Amino acid sequence: MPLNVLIVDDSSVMRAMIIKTIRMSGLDLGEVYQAGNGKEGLDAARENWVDLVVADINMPVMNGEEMIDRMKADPELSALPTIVISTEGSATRIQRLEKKGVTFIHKPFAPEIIRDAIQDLTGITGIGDSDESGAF
Amino acid sequence: MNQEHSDLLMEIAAQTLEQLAFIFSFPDDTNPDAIWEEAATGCHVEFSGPSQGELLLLISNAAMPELTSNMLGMDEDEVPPEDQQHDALREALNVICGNLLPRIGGTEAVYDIQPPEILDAGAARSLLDQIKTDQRDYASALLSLDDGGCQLYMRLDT
Repeated sequence: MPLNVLIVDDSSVMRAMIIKTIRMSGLDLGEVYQAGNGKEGLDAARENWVDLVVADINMPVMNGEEMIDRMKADPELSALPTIVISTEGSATRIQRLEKKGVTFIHKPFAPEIIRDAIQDLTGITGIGDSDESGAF
Repeated sequence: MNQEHSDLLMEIAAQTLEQLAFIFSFPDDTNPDAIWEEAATGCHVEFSGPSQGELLLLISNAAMPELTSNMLGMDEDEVPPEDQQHDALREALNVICGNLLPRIGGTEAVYDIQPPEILDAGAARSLLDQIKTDQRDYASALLSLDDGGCQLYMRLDT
């Protein structure tokens, strides 16, 4: 079954890179929703059927951590699998995020790291190996 | 100039350009003002935490399309629009800053990084002069790219 994904990042280039990486991974993608900050992301998650959220942390208007806190407080969204892709280097902050149940990926990232994280979070198998190497 | 921080800046910037955009760079200490001899774009970010400061990146305009198209996996003959080039540069500086600060302050330190801003060459040069004047302990790195160069400066208040 195709997976509907919501990408939340204030950089349109980073959103495009993440989408490209997910497509490269061989995942059967359904709808891809995009948002430029946590508030827009929260709205998009509430208005659409989303199976997976991929979010940044440092964003204007509402940061990714606040968006995740609000998702966790919303019974409709609290169980939504979430991956954070960020430059965040503080172990303190990363551990705090992981305690909230999200998977953390550091930028720049290798495509297979995202593929593996999606596989672990969603349990979807049959995701092909990336035929491109390198990092983003 | 702080040599330790300058070496770190050089290492992180080169790694980021390679991993994020497949751009290979080489240290260049021959002419620190070389970047001003050609058209360049600036990008600036401020951070706060255990220490606060700012990071300024200057890159030759000639290198901007490759930076952007490589990040996006575009065809070689496609020229990304200017706003996309600026977005790519902001993201590159964001990644450099995010990877640099834990190396300076340790992984337990919590920093807040502001959204990077694009500066035209004149504004970037003014800011650079200010950093050099106000802060003798600044760090700098100059990288040679296939198309021009890339220069970084960091001010760190301890």
